[in-house]
Amino acid sequence: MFYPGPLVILGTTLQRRKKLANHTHAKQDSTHSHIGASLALLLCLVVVSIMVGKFDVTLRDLITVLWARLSGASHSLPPVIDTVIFQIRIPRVAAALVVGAALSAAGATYQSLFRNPLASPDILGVSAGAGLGAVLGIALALPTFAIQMMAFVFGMATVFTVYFISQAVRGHDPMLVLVLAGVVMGALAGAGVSLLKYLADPYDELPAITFWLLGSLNAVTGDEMWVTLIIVFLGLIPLVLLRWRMNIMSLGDEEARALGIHTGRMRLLFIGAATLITAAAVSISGVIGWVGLMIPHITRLLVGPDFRRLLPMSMLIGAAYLLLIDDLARAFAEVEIPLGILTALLGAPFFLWLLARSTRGWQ
Amino acid sequence: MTLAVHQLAFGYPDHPVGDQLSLTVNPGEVLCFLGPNGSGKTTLFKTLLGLLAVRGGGITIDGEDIGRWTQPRIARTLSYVPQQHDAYLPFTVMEVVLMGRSAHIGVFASPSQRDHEIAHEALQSLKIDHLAHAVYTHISGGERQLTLIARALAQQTQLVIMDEPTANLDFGNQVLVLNAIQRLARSGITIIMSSHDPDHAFHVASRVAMIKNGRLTALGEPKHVINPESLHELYGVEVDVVDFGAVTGHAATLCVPIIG
Repeated sequence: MFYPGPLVILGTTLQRRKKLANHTHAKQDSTHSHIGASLALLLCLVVVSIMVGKFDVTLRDLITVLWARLSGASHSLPPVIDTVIFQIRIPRVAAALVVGAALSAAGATYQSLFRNPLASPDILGVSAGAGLGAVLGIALALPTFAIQMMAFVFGMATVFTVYFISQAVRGHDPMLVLVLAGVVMGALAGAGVSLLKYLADPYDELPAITFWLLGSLNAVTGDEMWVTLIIVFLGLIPLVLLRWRMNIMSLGDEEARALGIHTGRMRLLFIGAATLITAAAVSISGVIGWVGLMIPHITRLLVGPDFRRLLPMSMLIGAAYLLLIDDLARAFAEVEIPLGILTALLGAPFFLWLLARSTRGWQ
Repeated sequence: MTLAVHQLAFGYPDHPVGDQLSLTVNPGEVLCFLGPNGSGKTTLFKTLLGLLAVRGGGITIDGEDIGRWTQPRIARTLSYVPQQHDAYLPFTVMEVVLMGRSAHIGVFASPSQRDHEIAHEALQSLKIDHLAHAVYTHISGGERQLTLIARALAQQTQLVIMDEPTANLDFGNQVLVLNAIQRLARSGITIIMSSHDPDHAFHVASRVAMIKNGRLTALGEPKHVINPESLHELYGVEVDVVDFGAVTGHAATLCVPIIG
């Protein structure tokens, strides 16, 4: 499996990158300004997202309520606005931010590790496994939190099975075996999901299953958010600490070892961290495709493949992207559109467009 | 630093490639391996680098068995220049060369200012510092090969192993890379390389090791070892070895295949 070099280089991006690269310090400075500008944009988006939805919240309402909360004073607005902002909008916005950032961080990790722009957070079957766990939970009529736990545990278990298969099958490129084992386990989990859907009660369970598999941030509560946030944070620690080593891992197993890296340990750590992050995100949001594939890809075009810049920028862009998509899902139509449908609807054509503009093809 | 190979058996777990290979690499020399495709050159190199397990015999550096060395320790002693390829993410040349520093810096660390300076010196010594901020996947094959050699220099090892450094390069780039190898050798670095072109051994090698089916068939100075008989044994073709020194005015022994 080869990384096809710059799969897609947009002309303007290339120029910017050349300019960027003129000087190391200039590069660092402009990375900081990239991050600064993105953060500012994200903040605006967050404010808008809290206002968007069935129940109108004006900017003045938002400021009044936030100020009242911060200063401890009371305000004269109807209490339902408090409920909407703190019980519904803020957890949901936070969930979009965390899930978008998490899927993008995991995608960036897998793409660098596997040197493959098609790698995505579910390449090793974590989404398929999580899907099976969640569907099983729904079929057993478990409470929401238990369904999320099932999704998390099954997602992790699938990837560990994949990893142990790759360890047992020797004499091949370890990365290749990993990916193929991921495909196989994903197909197995998919079969399990299909079976459960076939057996499910078509009036009650089947819609819930379908809804979960399409992805949504509808039902996320504050408590679940905190659990997910903590797990994602834990998963990010090794990625941040080893951010430069990741660059060397992306050269491939042999070259990385010749440069003095213990690739076995390092790979296990990166896969473990990215899987933890993905499973935590998927367990509250359901399956949301394309984000983890597309966002790191676009980010790499903007800031280059150095993981020290790629990771934070992917997370920022991913968070903003999923927030925007979730706003669309809420505001676009009378009925809320599942996120997975929107990310695919927007992601697939965008990806094709990138592909068409590429200066060099896949290898 | 002296690298010695004693009765080495090497290959893959289910596929032995060579055995009973013994030789000593003298400090500061350029040892060039010649042999047909599949003769075991690359497998031998990977074994020397600790990428493949030793299947018998041993490898020592200054008398010390490197079988127990950790990967970072090997990487501080031996560096590897793989065949140039474009299977990288689009890193800049500088970013690629900096990766040569990984065995010298902490696991959680990023390259320091000093590491940047070392990488820059490596680029300068190969006269490609103007490429520092070019994207590795956009430059020519020869420039990529020089970048990988610069990465090995940044690794600051006494020994450099180069796997067919001139493969897949056009004529001009081959000469560029051969010149670079010559300069490194003059600076005191020991080079173990392989080539598919016996002429290249005449150009840069102090000694030649001929290898076929995983066994050493000849070892010695190019002018002693490379002759029509040994080339016939190695490649199964008819070749004349001709000294053009009188014509060119500088050392130029070339292998001329007899075609037709």
